[in-house]
Parts: sequence; C-alpha cells; structure tokens
Amino acid sequence: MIADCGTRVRSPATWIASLAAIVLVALASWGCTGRDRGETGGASSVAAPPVDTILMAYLSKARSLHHLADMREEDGDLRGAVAELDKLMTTPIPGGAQPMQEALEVLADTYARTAELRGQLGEFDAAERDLEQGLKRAPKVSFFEGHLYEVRGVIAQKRAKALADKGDKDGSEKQRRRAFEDFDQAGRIQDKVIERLLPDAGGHGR
Amino acid sequence: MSEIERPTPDPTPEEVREAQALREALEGHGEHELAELAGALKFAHDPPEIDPALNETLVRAAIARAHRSGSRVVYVAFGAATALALAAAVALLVTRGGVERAPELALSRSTQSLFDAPFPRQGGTSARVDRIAEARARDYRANLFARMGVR
Repeated sequence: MIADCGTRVRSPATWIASLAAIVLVALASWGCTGRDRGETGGASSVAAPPVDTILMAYLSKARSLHHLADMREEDGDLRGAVAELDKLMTTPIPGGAQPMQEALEVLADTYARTAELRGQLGEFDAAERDLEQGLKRAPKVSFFEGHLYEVRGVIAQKRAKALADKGDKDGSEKQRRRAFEDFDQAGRIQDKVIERLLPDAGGHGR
Repeated sequence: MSEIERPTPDPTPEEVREAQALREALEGHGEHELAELAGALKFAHDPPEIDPALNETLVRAAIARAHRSGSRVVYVAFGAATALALAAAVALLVTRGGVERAPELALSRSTQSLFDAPFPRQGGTSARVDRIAEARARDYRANLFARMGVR
C-alpha cells in the first residue's frame, strides 16, 4: 500500500524534476558553446587568424612579383626574374611570430622558383640555400615540400653534369647520388600526399 | 460526634438524577458530559484490544493525510525549480539576443586543398600563386561581408 502511494506521488514530481533538469542542462551547454563561438570568432581553431587585409596584400604582392618574373624570363632576363622574386623574401610575413599558413606556402614555392632560376644560371650554392629556406617554411608532407625536393634533385642533376663537364668525376657522382635521393624523397612525399587526398588510393580524402 | 463522623446529608433529587444519567451513559445508553472523561481515564488505565478492521481504517486515514501533505511539498518544490529554470531560459534568451555574436569568419589555413596533383617539375609557380590569391580573395570578401552583417 505504501509503495503504491509512493509511486503515485513520485511520478509527476519526477517528470517535473526531469523537465527542469533537462532545461537547465540544455541552457548551460548552449550558453557554453555560444560563449566559445564568440571567443574564437566562430571557428574551431583559436590560433588561426581570419583571412585579413595584410594577408591579401602579401598575396597580391607575391602574385605581381611572380608575373613580373614571368615577363623577365620571357625576355631571357633570369637574373631580373630572381631580383623580382627576391623582393618577396624581404617582405615581412603576415602573422609575425605565428606566420599565416598561406604566406609561408607561397614563400616556400617562391624559394623553389628562385632556386630553379639560380640553377639555370649555374649558381648552385645559392640555389641550395634557397631550397633550404623553402623547406623550413613548407608544411610537412605537402605538394610544396615534395616540389622543393624535386627542384633540389634537378639542381643536383645539373650540378653533376656541370662537374662532369669539368672532369670532376667524383664530385659529379656525389651530386648524382644526391639527385637520386632527392627525387626518391620527392616521390615518397608526393605518394603520401596523394594517398591522403585521394580516397581511391586508400586514403580518406581531404 | 465529630465533624468527620457526621453522616453525609441525603442526596438531593437533582444529584440522584445526575448520577443515574452518568451510570446509563457509562453503560452505553444516553450521554453525559462526564462520561467521555471517565472513558478516557478507563482506556488510559486499562486499554482494551482494538478491532483490527478499525485499526486498518485508522492507519489508512493517517497515511493518506501524510501523503497529501508530503506531495504538496514535492509539487511546490519542483514547481518552483521549473519556474526558476524557465525564468533563467527567458533571461538567457533576452541577454544573448542583445549581445552581438561574432561573425563566422574564414580563417588562415593551408592552401594544399587547392591542388589535386603534384606540381610540375618546372614552371607553374605563377599559376599556383594566382589560384591561392584568388581563393583567399573570396574568403576575404566573405569576411568583409560577415563583419558588416551581410549574409
């Protein structure tokens, strides 16, 4: 009898209590997520800044300089092309201590291009320095990183040929081995990128 | 003859009638104002066995009274909690409605996803920078519109 009475009395009260608890929990969680959204500017990453005017100015400058370099190359002025691209190397990178990703990638690709041009000019040491700078800035396991290793292989290949032409057989062979290593490394990186990007190749897509 | 030994005076006719009525009331016939007091004294001194049916009835009635009182307390407590929760909900809605929320902005990120294949061994850098600049220009415009409240 007492149990029956207890059930009859508690049921409605339990419903009301549950409703109140659900409302409070829902409000609390909604309030928290809303506050998080507000603090992070509506994005999942707190660290990444929004695409802003400074980044656009940097990208615009890079675009102009690369087209200027194109025209210098068309004129056969490879040094002029390098000089145009060098202007980007001295431009402050947006983001300061936490450089913006797009700027780093464009800069890395620019270093790959200047290395390529210096390789054509026979300035192999300078070309290698550019490639080192580019590799410091390129994201790991990316087309940018793979391309830099590929260009480094090309430079080593050219250097091997130049040394062979001078009769430096050992030096040439050393550069050939470096070229093989760099091309292999480039291939491994690109395979990883392709695997990651293409679900058909066993990856999970982008 | 002393005062103590003196016999009590004969009862008056009124006293005789009262005594007769009290005796009849104690035997269950009629009523008398002293009969209830006498009964209570008798039950206190020597309580009789209570009838089980009467006992059950009394227990049920007592428990029912207790539950009615208890459930009222529960309803009042949870009713007040619900009312507070709803009031908090309304307050939160009003407050949040008054605060301008930060717009959803496109963030700086890798441009890797703009490219589906490895870069050509030679050349093509300008085209890649073009693609990156154009993609981020779209983000930049979207951010400007978002900041201005344009959807």
